[in-house]
Amino acid sequence: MLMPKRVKHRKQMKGRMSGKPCRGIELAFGEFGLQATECGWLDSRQIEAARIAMTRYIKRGGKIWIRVFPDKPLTAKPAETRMGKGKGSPDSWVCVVKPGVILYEMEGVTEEIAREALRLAAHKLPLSTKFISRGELHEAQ
Amino acid sequence: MQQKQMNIELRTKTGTGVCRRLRNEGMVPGVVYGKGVDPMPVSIKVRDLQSAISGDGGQNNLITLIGGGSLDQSVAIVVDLQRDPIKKTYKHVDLHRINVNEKIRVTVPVVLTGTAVGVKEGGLLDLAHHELHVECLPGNIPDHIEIDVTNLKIAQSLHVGEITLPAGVELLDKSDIPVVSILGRAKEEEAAAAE
Repeated sequence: MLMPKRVKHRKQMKGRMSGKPCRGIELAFGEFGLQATECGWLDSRQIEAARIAMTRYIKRGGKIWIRVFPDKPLTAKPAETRMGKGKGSPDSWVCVVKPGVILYEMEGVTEEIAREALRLAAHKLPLSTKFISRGELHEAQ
Repeated sequence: MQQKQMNIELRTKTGTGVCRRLRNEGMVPGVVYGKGVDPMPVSIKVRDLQSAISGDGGQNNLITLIGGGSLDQSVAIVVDLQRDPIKKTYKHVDLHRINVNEKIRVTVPVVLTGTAVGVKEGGLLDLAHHELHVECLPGNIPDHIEIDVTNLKIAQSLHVGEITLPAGVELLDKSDIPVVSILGRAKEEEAAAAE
């Protein structure tokens, strides 16, 4: 699963997700992509589950790019622990997603296959998403 | 590349609030700059901008500006277009006033033609660069660069240096960069791996 090799600080504060993204909003590698339409945290397990879902559907037929990386640590306290005694220990890794960020890209498959593969992947994610492809920018205006 | 016309209006006020009001009125805030000219803030109707960058040329269309005081009848090109990440509506446009007799640097999309031999054998066509950087006179900007991939076999690549361009167009990318590749293992390799 995706996680940083080394971090400067083990624990981070919660942070806020306001605003719009300025980077990672255009298709950079593939022909089709999955774009988030709302903000949220994506867990490394969710990213992996979505990747597996679409890889199985396209059966090694195309190429996939993951455009997000979970570099934010989340902490959790053990079960049945009394409150207090400081912050919990690092538990999982998430990435902060803002509306408009491209999550996955795909190439080497037909649009129907890409659409279905990304639909299956979207079901594994806690965010609302939409399918995008190159050349549809002008149609959107 | 196509020659288009676009109406522009000079604006005196700048800033977030002014630009937001303009967008609500169906206008796009923008700026025109170029060699020997101070940057001039302008506003453009969405429909005008849309028609100016429509067609095969896209953002590389040469646009003749109409109105805007000293900018009237000058030729410009869109160098940057900011869009809303979700709605894809235009938020801001940068126009570069150009001299039609001076070479300019632009990015041109790559279009592949034919079906590669490697794809028929089960390989995967990988287009590594969807756009290439070129330098040419504004009148010679190609709509796209066509690359014929028919003879490309598995594990072969087509590099920037092997691309044939129209006359007067010069590539700026390094010649050893692969543009198109056919990924996958050749049949002999697969057979050897199976053994």
